[in-house]
Amino acid sequence: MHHKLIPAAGAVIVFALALAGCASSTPSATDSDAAAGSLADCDISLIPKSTDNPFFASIRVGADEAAAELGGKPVDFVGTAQADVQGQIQRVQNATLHKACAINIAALDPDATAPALTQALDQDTKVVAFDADVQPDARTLFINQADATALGVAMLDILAKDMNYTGTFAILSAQSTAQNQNSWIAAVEEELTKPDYADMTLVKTVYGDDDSKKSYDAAVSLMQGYPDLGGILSPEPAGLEASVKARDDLGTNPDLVLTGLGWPPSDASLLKDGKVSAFVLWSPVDLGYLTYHATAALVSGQITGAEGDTFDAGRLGERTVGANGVVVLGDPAVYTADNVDAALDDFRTE
Amino acid sequence: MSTLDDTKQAPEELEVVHRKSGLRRIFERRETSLVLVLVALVVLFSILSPRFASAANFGQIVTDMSIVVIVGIGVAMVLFTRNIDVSTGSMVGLTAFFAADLSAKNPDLPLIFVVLASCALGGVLGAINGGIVATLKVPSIMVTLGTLYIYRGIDSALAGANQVTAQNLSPEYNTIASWTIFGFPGIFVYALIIAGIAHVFIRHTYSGRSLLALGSNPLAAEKMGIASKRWIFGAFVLSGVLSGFAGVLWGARYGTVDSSVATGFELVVLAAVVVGGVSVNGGNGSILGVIVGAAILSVIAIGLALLNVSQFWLQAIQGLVIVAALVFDIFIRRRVEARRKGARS
Repeated sequence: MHHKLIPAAGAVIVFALALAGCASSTPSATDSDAAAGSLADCDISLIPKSTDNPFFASIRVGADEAAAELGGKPVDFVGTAQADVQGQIQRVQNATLHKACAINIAALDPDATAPALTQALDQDTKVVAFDADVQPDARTLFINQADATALGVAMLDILAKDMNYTGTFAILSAQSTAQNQNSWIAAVEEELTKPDYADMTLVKTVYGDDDSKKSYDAAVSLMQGYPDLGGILSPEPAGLEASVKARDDLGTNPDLVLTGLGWPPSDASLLKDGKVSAFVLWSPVDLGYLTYHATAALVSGQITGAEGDTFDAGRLGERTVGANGVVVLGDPAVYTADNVDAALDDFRTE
Repeated sequence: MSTLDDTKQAPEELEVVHRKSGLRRIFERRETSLVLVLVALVVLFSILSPRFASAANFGQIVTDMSIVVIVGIGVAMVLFTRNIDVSTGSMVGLTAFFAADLSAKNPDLPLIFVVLASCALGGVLGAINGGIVATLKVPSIMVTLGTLYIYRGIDSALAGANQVTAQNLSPEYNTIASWTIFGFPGIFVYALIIAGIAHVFIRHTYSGRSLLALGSNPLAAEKMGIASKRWIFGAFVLSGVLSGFAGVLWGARYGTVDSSVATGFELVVLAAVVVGGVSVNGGNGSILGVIVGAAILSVIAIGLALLNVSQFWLQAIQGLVIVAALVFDIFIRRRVEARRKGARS
């Protein structure tokens, strides 16, 4: 079998390429006139960070709700099951090739996806980023779930109160390239310079890549590497869940304060069991709904994406495009054991 | 598998360390140098970080390596037959979701049933690998690379955007992986029991020696009447069953189970097995080697984490330490071999 290894390896490569080919040749959009102003003929490719993430399933629910209201087709929800930058670029190129009239993207990497998106813009495909922004010249609009400063302040506020404004804490984030998490972390660091937080120190920022094992291992390392650690702030639910589990399993830091972003359908019980006093999030259904309305306004030529443009966003009322083409959904919501059940409808995935 | 039963006849043989077979002495030597590497790493990290040499941290290390050891034993069996299984990451991922979802939706189901069902599903996945490799004689790397994608695809289709979190599961589910006995992690007890059975099977049964003979010289083994197809099939099934068990442990240990669980884990397992001295050319290696290999990787990972190495450098440094450990291992082995030759003449 030894001497067969080289042809075998060759065959493996061909096979892998074939797999990659299969994955990327799935039609994500049918041919259509890119410049058409009619929503009924408009194919919108909605590219999430990963299709298996319930957050993006909720985004899709909101987008399709808006599409039904405005008489558009349901969005083409295309992406890889797991977060994969290369996969995102392939989906963008695919949508461009099929002359999709618009692309909505939550970018895993703002730089890596930019060249492909710029090509899409060049052929008059509208590009609207949501959740995580790309380079500003690679999109027309960015639909921001909440102002980064407001989110950072909301998370740090919970952490600081639970830590009595004293002690050391760490941040457990998702991918180190994720623009949204990085902007919230920057906001936390900025807020931390205020005198209120003089006795609090951020010792380290680590990344769990949105993966339960990596996040768990990272949380364990933090607790062991910093035995006096007072808290972990996790600006993504996988990190929050993993740090709660690690704290419970290790049992060495029972008073460790944990907060950040939580996913109410899974994490409501963390609040009810008192394992986390409060966490922050926004409505992903509303974010998807707003993203579709903004995209529709661009496609129909109602707005160009210039600062001060206003458009009707259905049940969310009239919205205005801010500086740098950013449209903000609203203030982040703080969930506690008392209000989390009432909010569950904002997180439906189908 | 009937082969596992006849191993139980002589568990006391585990205690027998000094057997005089020449083959065995080579294995002992192989492991001796690896154990020295492991000890050197432990000493090094203990000097660099005062928190490394603590009971709690050693508990953490054996817990961390346990799932790798369990899956690694199945992969080692496959490697012994001069085949390879690179689909374990997806088998662990698929069974992890299957088991956690099954238990979350049927909280009254006895956990032993969930464990057996997960092992059975793993066994079916392994049987597909082994069946194709043994009957169609397709190179196992191609088959299992294919099923790596297929099984992950099924996992994605099954899980979709759903995830099972520790909160959906019964507290008992967590204890599958978190129980301890006299402070000793239970998850490592599983690994040791499985390793003990596998060790006795490989070293002290006719079947186990047939498996190794088949890998070291397939043609000769066939002439001796060893039914190679059956052994290759069996090794893949075992790899699947152990992956299925590891799937349950994964969900119990890490809490949140979605379709991305254990992505890339097949390479971690292969690294541990190969570091542990199991030959990719078949017929050579030991179960003890798998344990030491997994321990070396865990000691390096946890040691570096305790030193607060920047995460961006962690992987590169981890790789560097692994290569250094292997070079050190080869260096010791050569010295020992040279000394033996010197003593003989």
